[in-house]
Amino acid sequence: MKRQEFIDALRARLNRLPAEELEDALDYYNEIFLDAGEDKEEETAESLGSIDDIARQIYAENGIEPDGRPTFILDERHDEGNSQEPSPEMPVQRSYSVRQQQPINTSKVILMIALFPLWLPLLIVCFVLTLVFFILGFVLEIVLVAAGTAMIIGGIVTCFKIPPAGLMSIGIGLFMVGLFILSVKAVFKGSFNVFAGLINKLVGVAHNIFVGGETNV
Amino acid sequence: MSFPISSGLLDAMVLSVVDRSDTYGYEMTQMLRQAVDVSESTLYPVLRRLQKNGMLETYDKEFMGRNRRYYKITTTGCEALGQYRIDWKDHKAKVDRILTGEEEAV
Repeated sequence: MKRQEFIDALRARLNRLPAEELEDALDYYNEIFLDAGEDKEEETAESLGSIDDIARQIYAENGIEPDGRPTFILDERHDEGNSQEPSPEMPVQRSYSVRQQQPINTSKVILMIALFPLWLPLLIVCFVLTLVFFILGFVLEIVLVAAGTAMIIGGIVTCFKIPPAGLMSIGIGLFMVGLFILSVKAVFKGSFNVFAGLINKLVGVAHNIFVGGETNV
Repeated sequence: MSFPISSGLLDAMVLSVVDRSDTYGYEMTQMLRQAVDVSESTLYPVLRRLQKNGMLETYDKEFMGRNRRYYKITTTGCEALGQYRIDWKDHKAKVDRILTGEEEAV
């Protein structure tokens, strides 16, 4: 097998690798051929061993496990049989998978439907509670900024009549606005996170019930 | 006969070869072949893994109008190599004690 044939065959088998990994591997093998010498391409290919083994090893290093019998073993036989290239028209089947889906777990689904009157109110309460907290935080922030601003403006006006009272009013107003600035991000981010977390959890639970969780191959 | 080589030992040998001087895939295989039966194909995943673990770094150098990828040992790699050498001496002494009945002066 010549260098270019080897590289093409390897490329066809490594089509499930990320582009960067693929190029790195092909560069490496290309370099080996060039370093070994142009007149020794056949020998080099021989010493490198089976392309399928090379592909298998690289996949394994990248955490992609062969799912059952890898299709490219068919290509290997094809190669040995008449020392022909696997034709590019013949797509290498994607027989690798890290995760496998399981059929829907029927008994669990039926149970979920039967318990419907129990979990639905709970779900609604959870949702409403989160929403209330969200609104409460929102209102609190508005009150802080509105009252603070009012105190400052009122304080400035009072300053002309009773300076000490005016200054105190401005001070309290500034304190409130400061508190608002400090807390606004945390409150909104916090309630948003709680909200997002709740939805995420629900999706996770639903996923577990319907898909039956992840199964390792 | 030849002894099969473990992946840990191969890691150690690769680090040691690169530690002596920066080198490229083909040359490295030739060096390792003086002691063990490895091919470039065996070496590739090893090099890639050592790179990902931060023990080796690569850089490209031009050679006759093309690029050659050189491997270079990192500080982490040096530390690991030091430990490998200690472990190897210990292991070798134990095997020698059983296999040859000799007590090696370590």
